[in-house]
Amino acid sequence: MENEDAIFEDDATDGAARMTTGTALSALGHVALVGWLVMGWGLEQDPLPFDVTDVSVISGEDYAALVAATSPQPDIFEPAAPEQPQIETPAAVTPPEEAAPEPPPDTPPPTPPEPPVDELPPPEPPEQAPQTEVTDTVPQLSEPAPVAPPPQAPTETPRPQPRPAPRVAPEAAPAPPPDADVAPVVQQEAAPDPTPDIPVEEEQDQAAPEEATTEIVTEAEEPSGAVETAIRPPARPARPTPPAEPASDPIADAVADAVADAVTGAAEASGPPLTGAELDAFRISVQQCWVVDPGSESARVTVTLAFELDRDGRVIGNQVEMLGNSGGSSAAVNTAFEAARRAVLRCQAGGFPLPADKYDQWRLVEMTFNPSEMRIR
Amino acid sequence: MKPVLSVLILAMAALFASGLSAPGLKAQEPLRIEITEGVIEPLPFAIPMFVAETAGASDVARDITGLVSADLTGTGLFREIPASAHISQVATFAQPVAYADWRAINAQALIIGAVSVNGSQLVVKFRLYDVFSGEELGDGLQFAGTTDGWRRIAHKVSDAVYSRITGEGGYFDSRIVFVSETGPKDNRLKRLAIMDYDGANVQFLTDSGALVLAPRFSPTGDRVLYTSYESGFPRINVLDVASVGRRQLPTAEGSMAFTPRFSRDGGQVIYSLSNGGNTDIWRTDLASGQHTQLTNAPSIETAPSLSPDGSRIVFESDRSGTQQLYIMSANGGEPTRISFGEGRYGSPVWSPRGDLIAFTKQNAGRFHIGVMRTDGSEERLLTASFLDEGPTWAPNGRVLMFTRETQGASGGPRLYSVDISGRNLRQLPLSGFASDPSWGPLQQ
Repeated sequence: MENEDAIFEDDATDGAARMTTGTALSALGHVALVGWLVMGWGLEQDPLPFDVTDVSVISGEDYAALVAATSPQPDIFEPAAPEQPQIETPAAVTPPEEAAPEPPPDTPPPTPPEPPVDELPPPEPPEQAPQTEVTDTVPQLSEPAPVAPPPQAPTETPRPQPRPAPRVAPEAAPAPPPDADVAPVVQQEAAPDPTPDIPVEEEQDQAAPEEATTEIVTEAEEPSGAVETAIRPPARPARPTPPAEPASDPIADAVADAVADAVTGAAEASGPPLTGAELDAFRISVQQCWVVDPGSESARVTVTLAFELDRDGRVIGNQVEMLGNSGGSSAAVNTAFEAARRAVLRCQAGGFPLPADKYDQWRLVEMTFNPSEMRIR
Repeated sequence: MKPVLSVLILAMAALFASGLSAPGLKAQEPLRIEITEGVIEPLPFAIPMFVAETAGASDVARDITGLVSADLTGTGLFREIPASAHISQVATFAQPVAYADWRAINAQALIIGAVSVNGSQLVVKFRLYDVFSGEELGDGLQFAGTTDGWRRIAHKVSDAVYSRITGEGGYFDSRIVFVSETGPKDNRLKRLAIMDYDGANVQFLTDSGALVLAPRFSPTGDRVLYTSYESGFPRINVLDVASVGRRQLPTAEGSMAFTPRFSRDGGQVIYSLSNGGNTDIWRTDLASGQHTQLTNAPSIETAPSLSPDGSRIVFESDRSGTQQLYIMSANGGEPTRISFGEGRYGSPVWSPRGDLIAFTKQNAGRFHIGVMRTDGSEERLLTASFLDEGPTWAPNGRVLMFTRETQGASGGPRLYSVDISGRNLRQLPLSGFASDPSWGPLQQ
């Protein structure tokens, strides 16, 4: 017993000693943490970093002086000297930074503006019109230089047809009635319903889809005006066979297949799966917000996004992450991701149209954006 | 580690497949959807008037805001939401962004800027926000210059906004060299001229003494190659843009030299040389003066254009009986034909992005500007008219500019631009006639 007590005592003293060390460490840690919070937090409140670039531009007068200095009918150069000339608009790029962590490394900080400033009378603020001082200072030119003109009507080549709508969408839509809002969901104008036994509909503004054509019509393809009136069924060329699963890991694919089989096989277990119409409604509500730029490199990139929806069909925390991608440079991938994310976040508005009783089926969503069919429009 | 994981996953998959899975587990399975249809439409953005931070800066603030907006909407890829629709007012540059207000009017991008003027010094800063994700796109940027350079500063702001949203370089702060044409059709005076990409700040580089044709910018924009008839025969001249001094390029022996272009490093010139009725492609090294013949065929080979990496040349040749496009190594060798459609193909230009070749096509009495991939696939005609010719690429490979000539006594050439998707065909707002544009690089 004594022995044991002694041991306990030893333990207790040991423990006390450890306690003090521990407390000290903990106190130190806390002080450091608080200090960091105070200091660090304060720092983060500083304005965001700023890159600064100096651009100096030669004035019209300087250009005139420069040109006047050299002969107007200039002599022949010595042939051997493709010398580095002074560029007419010396671009000095000095970064006088404003809390900038580091200026762009590739911008040497040479000379501020080369044209002597004192030569210039306080330059009058340019007028709105694109008239520039260049015109009257062009040297040794007998006739008036063409002035950047006032915006002129393209009288020379009137368009043979009204140009197609600026929007190209899966479904063509005529120009909306003038007083209708443009809304994703077409709504008829509704007036209070006279019949008493039917719940009265709220009065609402008329809404129509934004005017759109179904494809880009280049001038070479002779816009015939047909797109304005005839609603051409959206061309659906044979669906691209691979559903563009990014990061095609054979194991993951096998898993996905097996899982898909399992889900379809035992669907009744947790309520019916989404119907085709429900899936289509979801798909359509996203695709009408997905803006594709067919001339961009990003139109060759397929991205897959993952997000979680709340019961109202809204993206939780607006958190959308990229699961995978294929094709294109990293800049193009980033652009494609941002465009796809905008599509999801913009079109969720009041929540995606999904059946509440099947929440488990659509809580987690993996959405693949594949623009390959858009490129050929 | 990985094999173990895989086995585990496979085991789980097997569980699923055999229907033994618990319902709770199955509910975790995400809904997978593929979206293949989207819309092609301009992205709506809001650009409240830049804040004037000093007295007297409000005029230039208004001008800069307007020009940035014009640059962006002019691409056809953006649409400005008019200020009258704005809910949130921007009074200071630093004020927090009321994202909800901008979402409500469906602005997807928001540009907030401020301008200060101190004497002739102009400072412009801006921030760009992605409204729907509630994030700033990139850091704020600040440009400083002189007040009479406000257009360039505005273009630089536009370039930054454009490239942050599209992920591609801009082209607003760039210049174009072209042939300005004045006078009646039978007696046109032609002068080399230079202007901003939007047609502002036109300046002349030569007088109208001799016929000049086909100017071509050097890769850095400091020099211009062009064909001059000063001596009575076409000869290639090099002009220094800053000093407007010029000299004749020494070429190999031949009666005519034309369609010159610089190599990407600016150290060499490739061109066509005509000798005894036969035209071939040559290269001259500017430093050593050494000439190299790159093609040697009895047919006409002309209009060479180098790929961005400098390894290949696209050119036009009638060796098949009609004018078609061919690609060969930059050092010559056996060419490969890439154009096979109906009609005649000419004036090919390799895209700075490297993926496309622009060309002029003549077919069935009409002219087209078109693009194809470098293997000749995916040919697409972008324009059609009585006479379209001579495409040149914007520095980011996104837009083509070309000459369109109209018929009749009062007709004449004008400059047009078109997006490579075929949308957004526009005429440049120049007062006189103009032809043969060559688009220079983004200015530093």
